[in-house]
Amino acid sequence: MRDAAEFNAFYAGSSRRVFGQLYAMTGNRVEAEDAVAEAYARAWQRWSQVRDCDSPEAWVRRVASRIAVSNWRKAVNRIRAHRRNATQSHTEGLNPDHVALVHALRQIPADQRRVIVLHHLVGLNVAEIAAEVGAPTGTVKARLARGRKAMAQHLSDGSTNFTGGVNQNV
Amino acid sequence: MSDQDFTNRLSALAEDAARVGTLSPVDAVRHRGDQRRRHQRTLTGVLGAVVLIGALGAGVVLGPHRVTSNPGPPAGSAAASLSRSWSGAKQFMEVQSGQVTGGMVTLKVRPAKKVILGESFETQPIAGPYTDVTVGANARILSLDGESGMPSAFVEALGRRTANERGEGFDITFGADGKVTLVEWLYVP
Repeated sequence: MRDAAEFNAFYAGSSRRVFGQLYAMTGNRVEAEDAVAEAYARAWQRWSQVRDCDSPEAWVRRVASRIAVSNWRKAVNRIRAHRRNATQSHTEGLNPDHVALVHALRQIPADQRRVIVLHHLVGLNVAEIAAEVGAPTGTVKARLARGRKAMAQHLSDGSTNFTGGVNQNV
Repeated sequence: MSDQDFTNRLSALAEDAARVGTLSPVDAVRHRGDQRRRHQRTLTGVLGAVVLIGALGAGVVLGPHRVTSNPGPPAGSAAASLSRSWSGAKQFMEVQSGQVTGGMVTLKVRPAKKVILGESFETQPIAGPYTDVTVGANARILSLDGESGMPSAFVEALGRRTANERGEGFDITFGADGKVTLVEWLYVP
């Protein structure tokens, strides 16, 4: 019972935040909801180990993003169709400014979107992102730079200062 | 837009999304986790029983005749036999690596379990050795988009996979001669 209460508190305190991050990573509300639910189920499945992690929330986020990627892998054609035809259904209820941002996020590759979210939303530096995604720091920097540059082009406000460079100190 | 503006916009998006998102009740999440735990236990039990039965069977065969029994078939022969048992069938398999030798492509494969998770799936490894299988001269490698590729390019792609991707399974179809006729990517490499 103590375990359940502890897990319930963990879920209540972190799940919405993780969902927001997954939504930004996937640009798809349904995929994000599924991935988050599955990741927390897996966390509960091995709660005795996950609870002792440095950051159980980071564990769940990592697992959820992997599940989301796996979902894309399995159903990539379906999702491409969603991107073409069903943008509205996945952004229902969002502020119009955010719909535009989601649309821009969807235009860039998933690996770039992931590092952008980890850096700008989760607040990780390049080394931490490299550890989380299992890529060299140079690759992470390149993805950040390319992703931000592409985002700048896609965002409707015609950004002028957002050049896509990567701060070497991040 | 400055870096900070971008961070602020993303944060606002995440907060907005968290507001409109529908998260499962925690009881349902724990129930799903309990189901996975039970499923894992059952699978472990079944695998343990198979290993135990296999070991006992080997003991029965080898036990009394250990000194005089003939050596088993060479590994290559066992692999060929295993490969033949897949003839004419589609198997879900892990592919450890591939090799191109003198124009002939071979893959190191072993069966895996495809666990369906809603619309997705998870690859669960099945312990055991990898077996060398030959890819037929006219075999096709199909991407998720249905595009056909060359087996040699597939071997190169296998080498480029990340650590995470190495655990993902493929659908592999074997011809009547035990050679691979079709490999289907189930994820985007």
